[in-house]
Amino acid sequence: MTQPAEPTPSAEFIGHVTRAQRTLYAFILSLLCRPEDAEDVLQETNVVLWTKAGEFDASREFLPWALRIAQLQAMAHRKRHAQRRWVFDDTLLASIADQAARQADASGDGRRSALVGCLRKLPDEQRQLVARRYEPGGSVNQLAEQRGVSPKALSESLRRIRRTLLQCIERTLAREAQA
Amino acid sequence: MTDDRHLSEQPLTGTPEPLASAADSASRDLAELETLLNALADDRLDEVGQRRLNDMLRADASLRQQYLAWMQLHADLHWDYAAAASADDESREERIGSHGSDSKASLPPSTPAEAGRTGVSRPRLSPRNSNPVATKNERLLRGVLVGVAVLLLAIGISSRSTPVRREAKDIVTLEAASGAVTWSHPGEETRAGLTAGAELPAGTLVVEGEAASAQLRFADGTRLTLSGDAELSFTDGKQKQLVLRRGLLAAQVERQPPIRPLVVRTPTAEVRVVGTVFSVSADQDGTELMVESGRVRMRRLADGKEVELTDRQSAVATFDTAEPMKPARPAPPPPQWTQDFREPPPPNCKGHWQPARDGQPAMVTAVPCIAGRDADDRPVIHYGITARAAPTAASHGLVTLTPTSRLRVRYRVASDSNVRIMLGLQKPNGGFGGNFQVWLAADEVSRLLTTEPSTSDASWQSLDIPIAEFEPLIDHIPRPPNNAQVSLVFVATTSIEAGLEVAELSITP
Repeated sequence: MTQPAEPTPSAEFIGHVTRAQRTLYAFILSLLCRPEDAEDVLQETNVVLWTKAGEFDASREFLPWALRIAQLQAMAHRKRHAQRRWVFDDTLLASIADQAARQADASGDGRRSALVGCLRKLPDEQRQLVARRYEPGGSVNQLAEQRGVSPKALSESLRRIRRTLLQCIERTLAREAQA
Repeated sequence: MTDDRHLSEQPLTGTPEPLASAADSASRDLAELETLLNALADDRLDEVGQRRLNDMLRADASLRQQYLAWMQLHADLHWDYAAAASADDESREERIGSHGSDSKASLPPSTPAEAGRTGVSRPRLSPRNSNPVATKNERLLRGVLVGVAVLLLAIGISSRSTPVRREAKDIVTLEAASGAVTWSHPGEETRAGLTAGAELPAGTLVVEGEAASAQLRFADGTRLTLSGDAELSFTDGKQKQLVLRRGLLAAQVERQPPIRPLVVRTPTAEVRVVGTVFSVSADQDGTELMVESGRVRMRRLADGKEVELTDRQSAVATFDTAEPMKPARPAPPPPQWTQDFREPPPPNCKGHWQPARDGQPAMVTAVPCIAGRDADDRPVIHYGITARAAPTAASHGLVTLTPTSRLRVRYRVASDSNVRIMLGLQKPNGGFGGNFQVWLAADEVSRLLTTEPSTSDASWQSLDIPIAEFEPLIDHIPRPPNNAQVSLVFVATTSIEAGLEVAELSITP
């Protein structure tokens, strides 16, 4: 097995990277919009984080540093695929990145727990629709075809479910903040 | 771009609706933004919509805030697919707090070299931050750890979950097909009534009907056999990825790169293999893995727990995290079996059950069953009944076959009809053992009729058929494997007028 030249990251550093995965993924997805791109860039970001582990100043916060690397990787990804039509221009992407980085939450535990609880409150049919939409390979077109409805109608159903989930999550987080 | 705004639509929860309840300009913007973001999430946002989204987000930080909240949810749902599939919140709450007690074996490697030695290293998650259903998290980070040991190799090819994407080129050959076999993919014309020899790109294969099966072969020789009512999505980009939504999948997997194992996802589990022979049976509620040879790991999606199976072991994963996931070796069923329908058959069997009454024996009457589809996607319907082991049974086998086994069917029909009898077989370790059938023309039935007891209703008759007379439905399994077990008996007629009723099924050594 090839031995890497970089110094071995500490257990603490590995812990930082582990805990940041979910946040990094959401951050990158907000910049690139497509899950496939976000997954690719997250992996590239992880590799860069590892190779730059020696440069990380443990007295500083990990997440802003990691998010900055993720942003650079996202921009590099866009450059590599410059022929594609990206949703945001560079200026807007920078604004979104700044805003997202300012409010990024390292673990997202509360939000995740809220999501699990809110998913449970959905009627079975809606929860199954979400599961099918977000399982590997799930797509609106395919689901619509299987259910005999138009993609637009199915997307509209998902819109209502997403709105319900967002409202439920916000209410849950607000309640927990007051408690 | 979709421009329907649904401003008056009530939220499903009946709670205040911050995005679209007010009539002022800001609320209209939020409602429009929601429509745009939904289209974006579903990959339905056109160029005009993109421009509008850019304009809105560029102009207003509060809309960017809304955008980020939306994308956070989108990301979370991608990340927590299993959470959406699971309905068990109480046990999930327990899981959230219980995953941190990883054993030492699950600690991250202290050095990259260790990561390289172990091949796959699993980062330890603290109880606070553990995420039992965030399998993407663990897979991605595992990719990093392995990737550092083999840095260049790992970039972009570690074991993350890439959704099944459309591949332009054909990636599998349909080596054998029986019954209704249909391929589909969004944006592509559905191909129904598939026959052996078809070349297929990545997509979804559905086999319908009790006797249906399909065998696929990848370019590297990996073979998949799908049987029963089953649905499988497959792709082979950077690695082979399968999504088995229901049905039985038997796989003979050629050696895969260790960092790019074949992955099978089901609603309740994930199976990763680098080269082995195994079967996976899945539905919405559970997954059963049966390993014929080699080693296979199965992860229960509900809590991330894993079990490793070796030769001739099986294990079940459901959403019930209280259930242990232990390897087991089910005992083989006996060589003799009788189903007289005095008790209602298990719910996974087809047919209308009727208890004994008015001097008539207990019986099941035939129901419509799909037997195939023509090229125009029109279903071919037969009328039949099935017998299977109960889902809760220790073994899915009803009976172990011997070379001299015979099947007896006691039945009656209202009019002469062709009779079709099919046996679904499994290997002793649970792997797919092929489908075999006899097809009796109406005028041929009498050859196999036996004499009914003198006390019985004259309308009842019995067929007695040596197993050796059954013909294979799948070319590559020309005869029953040694010690094969019968997992399914299917008896059908081709016409509804026949009114098939079955009072007893038995197999004797």
